[in-house]
Amino acid sequence: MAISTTFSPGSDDWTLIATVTPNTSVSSVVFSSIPVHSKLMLVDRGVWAGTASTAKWIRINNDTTPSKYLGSRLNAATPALANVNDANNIVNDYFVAANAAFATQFFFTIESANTSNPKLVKSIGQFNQLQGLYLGSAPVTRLDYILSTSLISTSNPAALELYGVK
Amino acid sequence: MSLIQEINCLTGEVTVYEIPDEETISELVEEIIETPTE
Repeated sequence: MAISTTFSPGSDDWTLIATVTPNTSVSSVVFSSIPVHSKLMLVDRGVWAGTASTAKWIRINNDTTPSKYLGSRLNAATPALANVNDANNIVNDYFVAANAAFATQFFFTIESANTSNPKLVKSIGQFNQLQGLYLGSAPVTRLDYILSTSLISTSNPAALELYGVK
Repeated sequence: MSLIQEINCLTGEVTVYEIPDEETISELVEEIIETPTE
């Protein structure tokens, strides 16, 4: 009897689209003219913010419509159900990719990025885990990486990397 | 003013530019309103 491969999950082929090390004193980094991909992933290897109270936000397609950003996140040094915080994402026009700390690392993924349908987003990082939905209808061609309160410091420069799956 | 760094993913070109914050925009608008026209 032949072995069925019906349930094989396959594997995504993540390829590097762009990488950049932020300059000193910038408050946001924009990835523009992103070629259309089915999935996108932004990796922060620990870009150093100016203060420990700085969160890192992601805005999609420069869309500032709060009602298109839905989500829930665990927000704590020791995540627990009691720390579920969904208010931050429902009322704002961005997703919180990393919670306040000097140099949190995270990876932020977007699924269905090439469709006109809702896009599932996830962020996994120190002190923060997010699951959300972006309701914009255009394929994703721009991501804004924004610091909430301060500027990027020279203390410990690190790269931002954008990957995609065709 | 806020400093923005942009990378164009098609060309790889990286540019850095400033955009005015809300306070600066308000000041500029006020200045324009107060400036008499000829």
